[in-house]
Amino acid sequence: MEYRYLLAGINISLVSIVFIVFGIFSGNSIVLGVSLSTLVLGILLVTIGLTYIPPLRELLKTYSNDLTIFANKLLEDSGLVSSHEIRICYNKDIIQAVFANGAIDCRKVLPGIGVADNVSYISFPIKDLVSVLETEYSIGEGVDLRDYLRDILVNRYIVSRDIIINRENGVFKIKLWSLSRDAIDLLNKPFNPIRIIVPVFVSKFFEKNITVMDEEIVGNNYIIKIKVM
Amino acid sequence: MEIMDREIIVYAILSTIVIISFILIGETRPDVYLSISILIYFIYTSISRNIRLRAKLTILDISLLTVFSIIVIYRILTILEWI
Repeated sequence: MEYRYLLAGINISLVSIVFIVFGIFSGNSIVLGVSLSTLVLGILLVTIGLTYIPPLRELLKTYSNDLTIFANKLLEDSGLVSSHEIRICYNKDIIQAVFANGAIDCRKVLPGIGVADNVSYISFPIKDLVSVLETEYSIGEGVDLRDYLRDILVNRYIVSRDIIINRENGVFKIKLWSLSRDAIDLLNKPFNPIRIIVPVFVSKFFEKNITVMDEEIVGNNYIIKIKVM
Repeated sequence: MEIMDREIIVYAILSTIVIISFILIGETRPDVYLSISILIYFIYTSISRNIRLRAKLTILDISLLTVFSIIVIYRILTILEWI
């Protein structure tokens, strides 16, 4: 959405409508005709404002899809697709999203493909996203996890309409309620941004390692159970 | 200046030139202004594809085409003295 086109379009449309009404009541057909023409321009601007796709974003989306295919192929080839555990290894400088086929010690994990204590893993470093979180979403006093996740996932990136968090026996059950269409499209591969970003944000919030205990998709909702280590 | 800004400005200038021309020749039928604006929209967005590449105009296309068709049908029926 491009707000300046939307705003310009709404302004032009409103002025046109006023003059259309004036033209009808005063019987001035030239004013009516000119206003109708201007209304076409206004509606065009509103449409552009509502549906505008910045060109680079479209390219990045396509590139991201290709990278996701590559990452999923890696998971497939390393035998991690069918059974894996997701662990987020927190470090101040870099957070790693680790896919492993068993419990793994975060101190022995390095970015990339590796084996630690006979457990094979693939670790995806998450650096830029963490920098964005640090600069734009500082965790101040009184900010709870729900507010933090809501700010980022609902208000900023519109991943879902709301977030519900329950805590039971040290396990956080996070429900992304009513996922957006783009988010639902992303969830159809084993390795996808949604599965990574939620535990990464939680890890950043608590500044601790995270284990993903369970995940499920129920209708348009994504439920993830996370344990903070 | 962004490409999209330039496209919109050119479209607005074209539209303005045509409207002023119609005013100068004394055209008083409002549907003529509207139908020519719609034609300019279709012609311009077909020639210069940057607007169509970056915005989804399908619904707008269908709406304007419908309005244009109604205007044309109305005029035909008026000429044939059916209304």
